Amino acid sequence: MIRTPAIDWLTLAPSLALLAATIASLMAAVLVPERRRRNVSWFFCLAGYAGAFAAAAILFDRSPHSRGVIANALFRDRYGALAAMIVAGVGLLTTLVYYGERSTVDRVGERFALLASAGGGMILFAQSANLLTLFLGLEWLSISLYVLCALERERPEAIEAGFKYLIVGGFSSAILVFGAAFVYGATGTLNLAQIAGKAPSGDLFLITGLAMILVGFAFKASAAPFHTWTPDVYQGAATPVSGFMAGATKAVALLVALRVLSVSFSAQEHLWTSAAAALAVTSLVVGNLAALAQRDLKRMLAYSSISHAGFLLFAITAASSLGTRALLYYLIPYGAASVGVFALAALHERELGEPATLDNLAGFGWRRPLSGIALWIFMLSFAGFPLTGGFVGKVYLFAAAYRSGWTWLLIVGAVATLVSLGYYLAVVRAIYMRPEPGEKAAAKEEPPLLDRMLSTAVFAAVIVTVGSFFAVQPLIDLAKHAASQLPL
Amino acid sequence: MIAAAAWVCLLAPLAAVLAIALGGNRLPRRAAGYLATGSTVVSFAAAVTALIATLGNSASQRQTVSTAFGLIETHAFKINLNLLVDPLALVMMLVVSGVGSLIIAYSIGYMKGESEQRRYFAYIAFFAFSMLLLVEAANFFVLLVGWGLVGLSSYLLIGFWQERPSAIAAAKKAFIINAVGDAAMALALFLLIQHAHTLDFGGVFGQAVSLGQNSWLINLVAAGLLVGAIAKSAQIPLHTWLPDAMEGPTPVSALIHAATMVTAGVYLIVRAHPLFEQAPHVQQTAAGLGAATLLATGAIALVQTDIKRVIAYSTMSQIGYMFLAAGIGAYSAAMFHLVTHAFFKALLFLAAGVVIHALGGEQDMRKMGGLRRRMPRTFIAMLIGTGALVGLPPLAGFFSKDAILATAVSNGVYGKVLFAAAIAGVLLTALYSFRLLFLVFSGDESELVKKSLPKRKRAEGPRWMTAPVAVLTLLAIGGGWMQVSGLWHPFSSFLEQVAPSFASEPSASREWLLSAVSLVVALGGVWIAWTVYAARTQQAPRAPRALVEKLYFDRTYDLLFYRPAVAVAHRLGSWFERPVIERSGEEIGFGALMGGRFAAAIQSGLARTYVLLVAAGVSVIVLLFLVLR
Amino acid sequence: MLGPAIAWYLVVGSAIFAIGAAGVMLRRNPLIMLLSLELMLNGANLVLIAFARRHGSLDGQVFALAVMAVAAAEVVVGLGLVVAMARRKIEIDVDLLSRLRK
Repeated sequence: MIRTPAIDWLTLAPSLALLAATIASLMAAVLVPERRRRNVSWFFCLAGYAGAFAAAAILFDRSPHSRGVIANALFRDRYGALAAMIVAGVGLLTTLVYYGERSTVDRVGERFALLASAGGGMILFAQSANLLTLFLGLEWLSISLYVLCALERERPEAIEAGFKYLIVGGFSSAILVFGAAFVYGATGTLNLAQIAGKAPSGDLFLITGLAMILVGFAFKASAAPFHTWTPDVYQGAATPVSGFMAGATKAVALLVALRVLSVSFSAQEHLWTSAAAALAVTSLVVGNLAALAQRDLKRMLAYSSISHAGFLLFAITAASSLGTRALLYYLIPYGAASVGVFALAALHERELGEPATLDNLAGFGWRRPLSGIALWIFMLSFAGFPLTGGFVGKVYLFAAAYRSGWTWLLIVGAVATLVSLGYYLAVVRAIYMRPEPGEKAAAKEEPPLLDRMLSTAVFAAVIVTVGSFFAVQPLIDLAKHAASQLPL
Repeated sequence: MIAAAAWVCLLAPLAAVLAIALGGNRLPRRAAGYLATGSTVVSFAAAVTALIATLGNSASQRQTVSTAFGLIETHAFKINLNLLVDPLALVMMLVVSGVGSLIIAYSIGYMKGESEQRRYFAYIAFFAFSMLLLVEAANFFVLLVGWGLVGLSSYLLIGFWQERPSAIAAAKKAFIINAVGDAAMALALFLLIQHAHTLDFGGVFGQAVSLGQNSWLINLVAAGLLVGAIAKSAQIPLHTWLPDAMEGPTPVSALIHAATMVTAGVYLIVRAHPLFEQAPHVQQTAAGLGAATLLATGAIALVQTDIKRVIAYSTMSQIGYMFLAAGIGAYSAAMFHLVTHAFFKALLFLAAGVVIHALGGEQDMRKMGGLRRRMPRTFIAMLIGTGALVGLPPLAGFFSKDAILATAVSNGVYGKVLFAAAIAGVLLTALYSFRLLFLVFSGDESELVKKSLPKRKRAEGPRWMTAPVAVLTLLAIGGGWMQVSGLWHPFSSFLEQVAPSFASEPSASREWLLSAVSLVVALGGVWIAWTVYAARTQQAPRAPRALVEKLYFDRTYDLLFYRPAVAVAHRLGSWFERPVIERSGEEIGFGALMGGRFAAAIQSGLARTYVLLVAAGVSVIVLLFLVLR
Repeated sequence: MLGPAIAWYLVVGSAIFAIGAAGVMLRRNPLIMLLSLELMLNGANLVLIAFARRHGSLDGQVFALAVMAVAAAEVVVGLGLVVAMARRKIEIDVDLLSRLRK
């Protein structure tokens, strides 16, 4: 008899649901006749995300105390469960948006399989309790995303995006593994909870390892200067996938970073808070300034997501329970708005047959009044205006940084917010411009495409973005329960 | 049960709004009206259910608080989204949903043929929701939200005919003046948060006495609330928006600017009476402002020529009575007058609406006349409404107004002064309201009437319009019998638990005596109006210029606020903005753009440089960590 | 303990890692870049195994095994992309993959 660890199935349930969805969609890609393939594999993916969301919600409810399960490989706690819920929610919306994405060939089954797979990896990543599962989760989600980006290999941009993502991503995960090896060397354990206190706080290996692990996270969160892949990949990948990466990948990367740093490296807090502050400032500067110069909508959104990495890093800089709460809260409207805005970009692209730019967006708001308003709402949420969750989130993040004494960071953040208005409002202005006569008058004759799935996703994203402003307290309570399980 | 009814009552109109908004063009125009009416009827049914359930409880147990979820929670205080059902809220709920459903049903007929009916009904159902939120709120925060939302829906509805510049201007005026009140109220609430650490009615009122220890604080809080109340209720000096608000469709004037929203100020004073009682000077100011308003607006109403504006001034004047009553602590008298006023004022507006509708939108009374024979039923409705307004027995206004007069005269010297103003107001009321009635209905048929109403044409509008008028006529007749002083007083004993009046009660005999006095005064007014406007044996005196200019309020505000603001803005524009801001804006924008180009230049598109950057970043962080450790 | 001291293993492991990193940064052929990524991961593996021996725990060795598996998966994706490039007759030179920029 081999003694195996006790398996806590509920903890595994969210990622298992997505794994099952992956397998089912892949099987559908092979076995189901072509004309129904899209619907069947899409359905499995949707069901997988719905199941993962439900399982994560149950897990949240039933994990009032944080504990390690399955030989201490995973955390069973509300923090991980809330992260899983955010990932599953973003994934659910992305699945809806992805349904109508045109593709030249019959790889519709694979796309949903990979989408589900990436979500499963993210959830495992978010729950990981030792460096090994952390690495596995990270690679699971990364490799799925590499392929997802390059899936439409007929487009040279897609291949380029996938390859660049692979090389730079592989490079940074090699750095993370190397760092993990050093941490292991310094402490003799891979378990996150046991790393703390095993080695003197100034240990050479430990510090080097910490720095390298930090870089791995910063890369996934696309914080400058580790952001360079972001604009290229967002631009080259299928638009719904970019939304997924902006909403979900960044979320888990930051959440896991905060967890690892607070659980394992509490003794080095002065180091990683300063590093986070530096990364935050760099991201804000680079993201905001570069976004101003963009004309391509997806590239602009990529830079906006970099600047948001800067804002979200305030939470890590604050290193407090309030900061954790702020991060968890803000990721909800941020994720919804990310998916929503990329969904609208996808809609515009599908109508036009070419990438969305600020110039060809002209007239969008008149042609599609409701989508125009939705775009407004997402932009205002990104910019942090009241009546959207983005406002409350930003206020919380700023408050957290202020409480922890990072006053100068607030000033940078305020200036960055001001600058960001420049490009967010430029989008709003663009959609109400009259189209130039030279521009391709998008679908002027034919009636606008009606994509029920996409409209549903956008509507849901609007509800979450606006609803998180009005129902702040319930969400804050969720975040509070989750945040209380980190040792901050 | 009570809680569920309260939520149904609140949310039914909201559901109608969503259905109309989401239905869009797929929804037939008529269906929007039916949806809005149906939802307010549901609200009314829920309010009645809540009333019956509440009456089943013993008198001290008639307060139900239902909490949905927390809105804001900090260490210091907590705000929930919660509703309160108590006798005071119930009275308002019944008025809002009851009178509201009648008026919305009326607008199905009134707005027929209008191309944007869906928008209209969505707005008006949204108003019903906002008003119900206001009156069902269990804390000041939710109340303020409702307060703001009724302002918003009032703005939207006043400006409903958005192609008319005057309607847009009126909507803006209403919104801005109301915003002054909202801001003052919000400031008062901040003070409450700071000192009482709660906004729940129960919590705040429980601390009223201890808050009252600090007289500055309590006076400021009460003053803030009072400014909010007078702005919403169009009392002097923040009253100038209401006459202009008559630019909206007539049912809107009936619902928002007569029956419900404008009386919210009275509701607020009664609701927050524990705070006002700690600040007696502020409360007496409220009474004084009420008295001033009822005189001034009653006088201005005498010279107005627009039928709706006369009724609008009359509304302010009547709300002045309510403020007077609330200000001397006669809360149930104020609320009683609020209810009967909702009946007869809505009736007057709707009947006026029938006239306007029949005359193709004409509102100038000088062009009307002799409508009595052409619109006999409307004439009767209008006669009853006017009688109720003037306070002729046995109509509704008689009982409620006399309760206020009698209470005033029994309350010291200040009360006597107020009483004098009120009795003068009765004379004015009789004058202007019968002037309206005689100008429109008596005499010979005018050119306009002959032209717009060819013989044998049904003049009084579709059934959707006449039926609500009929119901309101019955209410204007019988509504006052809820409470007859000296005989029975179920209304005030119902309200007693929430708002116990501290004004000394007049004796029944004194009250009857005063009734006789005010009746004589009123009849005197009617007689004068008769001689001047119906029998025309006397020439009408030339209207004093001050009254035509509406006592110069608009001009003063124009001189005091608008012109200086515009002048300062122009100066700032030419001295500061153009030279300093605009230019620097160019420079900042250019600098930022250059920075952006530079930041984007890192983006060579080469994977190798990206890797290089990552490697450089790692090295820097490792080195810094090793240095700083 | 037989064999060289742990420091030597670390030096060799770090050197392999650095060579791999340099390869990724300097080479233009995607195949060589993928190989260099492998080198980086293997350098990390050597360090992991060395530390595992020193601590006398198996965790590091298991980690190394997992890294190998993951590395294989990464290379498969990479090779797939290289094949796709070859099929579309894109020249096998990473520096020419720079359509996405601005």
